[in-house]
Amino acid sequence: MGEGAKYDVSCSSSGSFRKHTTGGTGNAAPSGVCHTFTADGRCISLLKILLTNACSLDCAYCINRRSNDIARASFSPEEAARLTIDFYRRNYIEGLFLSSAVLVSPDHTMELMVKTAELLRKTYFFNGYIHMKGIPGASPGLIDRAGRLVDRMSINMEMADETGLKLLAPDKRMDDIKSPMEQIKKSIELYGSERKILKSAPVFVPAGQSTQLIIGAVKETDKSIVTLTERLYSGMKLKRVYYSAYVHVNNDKRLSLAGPPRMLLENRLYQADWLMRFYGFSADEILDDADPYFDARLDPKSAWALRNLRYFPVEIKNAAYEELLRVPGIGVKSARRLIAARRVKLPAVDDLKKLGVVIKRAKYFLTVNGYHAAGINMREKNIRQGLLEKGPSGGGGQLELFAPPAAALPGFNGAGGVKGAGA
Amino acid sequence: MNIYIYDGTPDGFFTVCLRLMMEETEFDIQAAGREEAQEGLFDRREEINTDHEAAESMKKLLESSATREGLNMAAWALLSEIKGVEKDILDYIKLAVREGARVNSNLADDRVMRVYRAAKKTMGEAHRLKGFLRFAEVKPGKFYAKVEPEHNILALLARHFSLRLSSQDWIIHDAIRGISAFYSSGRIYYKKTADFEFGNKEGKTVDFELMWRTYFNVMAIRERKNTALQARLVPKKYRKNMAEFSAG
Repeated sequence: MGEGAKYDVSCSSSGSFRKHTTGGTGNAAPSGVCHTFTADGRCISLLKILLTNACSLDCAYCINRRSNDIARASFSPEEAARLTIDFYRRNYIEGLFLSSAVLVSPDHTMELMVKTAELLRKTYFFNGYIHMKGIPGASPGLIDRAGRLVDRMSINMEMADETGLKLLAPDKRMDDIKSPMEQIKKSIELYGSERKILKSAPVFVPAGQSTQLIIGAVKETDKSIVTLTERLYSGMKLKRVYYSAYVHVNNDKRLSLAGPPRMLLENRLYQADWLMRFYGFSADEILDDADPYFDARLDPKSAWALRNLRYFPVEIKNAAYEELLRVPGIGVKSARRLIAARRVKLPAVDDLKKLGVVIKRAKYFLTVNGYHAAGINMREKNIRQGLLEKGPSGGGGQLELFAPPAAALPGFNGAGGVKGAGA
Repeated sequence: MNIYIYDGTPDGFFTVCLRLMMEETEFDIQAAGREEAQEGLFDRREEINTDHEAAESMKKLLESSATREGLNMAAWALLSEIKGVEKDILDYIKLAVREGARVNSNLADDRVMRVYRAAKKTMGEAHRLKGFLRFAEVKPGKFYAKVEPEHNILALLARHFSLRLSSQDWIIHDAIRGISAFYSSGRIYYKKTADFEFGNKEGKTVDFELMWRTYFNVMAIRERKNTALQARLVPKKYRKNMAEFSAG
């Protein structure tokens, strides 16, 4: 049953702190724990299963769609709960990630899922982590019951806009996705304010709400995804937005344009996501309308810095935290360390490395006590040359929207291995 | 050169520290059982008896100058069992006593950085193994896990699992150091142990290791295969004790 669930990307088990109860099993750690990593390098933290793969919908991108001829199977809530407990007791997993195809109706499905969570919490006294998918179209009452039992809820957006959804998931409506999201957001706020007054008030989705977007399946600009992400964080108060490079599982005319999974785009989106959540960047700063696509060979932070050389170089002796954060090669941790360290003694260029600064990138943008760290002319051309990532030969080009067939771009997917959040 | 041998415990180490706070001549500190075989012609070895009171006052002095954070950092660094870390920690302690709490933010100073790095190694491995450790049910309700950590993290693991899996009895066996943590009804105790022999482990009606292995293999997305990344995230040295990587 993991087969159908594996394309969901969230592996997070963090942000919740559930204490152990006497006679019960488990606790939830606020930092999250990865239990193993699959051959594609993704973390397995939660037992990620579908309660059933017998789906009444027909979404073009999904392996479990109604029109596919595959073996159908279901767990009973009791079976799913037992399996979770047995895996948990062997330390295979941090908790359960429960999703499901839509069996009979959204409410019927959601009812079974809530029942599983109830068994875990009330019969097995399970205090580990539970992440539950909200089924679009399920009734508010069921969403509320679920929210009181689990640590995190997520409802997948899948597509950035109504048009994409109509094309690929004709049975889903954007409204059915947005209204439970809205409900969860409101409940989190409401229960949260009750708890401020009354400690015993119930908790509601304490680890927050998240969602997932499929990217590279339809025509859309990178900018539109980044802008949507920004709205989801500020308006919907989401904890995380996940991106999943579309993987071809069905032969469907509507998806004939999509090439191999666009790992580099996925990587760039996560870098941009980090910039918005931790570095104080806005969507408009990361990409502008004149140039709404990511650069294939420059991370978004370096690209921004090159477009805005007027803010540089930054003097490490007295730059503010926010200014340091904007320097390519300096991250949240190294900026904090730098500030702590300079109170004792002004670090030299060699010391910066020890503080976690990536000198290779940062040197172009820093002065140490008035001296420029790289010792070169602050010209865009000079710096760009030094910053370029190893990429496909011959191209400092943009991320093409629809990459030509894989054969024409050898090694392009390999570039997806570029790591880091653009710190 | 004087070589001071302590019994390998934190208190033993802090006893030595207190004694050497003012020492000016060259010396080395080594743990009993982990001493270096090579001995110079003019080396003089001295075994130091653990003095809990002395250790306590050393710890108090460190905590009052470098806060709890500094004391923890020293303790975790010691658990790393990295060769020569004892001297590094002592250098750090001397600096901390002179400079006070601001010492911890001075990571550009080598004396702080070396200890910080060692502590991070210990904590990093402990964090990893909290995920990678695998229990097997060897008798009904009794669970056993074998670990082979580079650093001495058994106590950190035992504390974590005593909070998490308190409704079952378990043993965590550090096969490198030949010591095991036993847990039963709310209490942890440690014992020197040789290798355990269990009959056919997990020989139950339901083979959970097989189910887990199957699940693990199914979860990988073929189109995105990246074994180099996987190797970085789950170093090979841990894999022999993880059910999903054994051939079974």
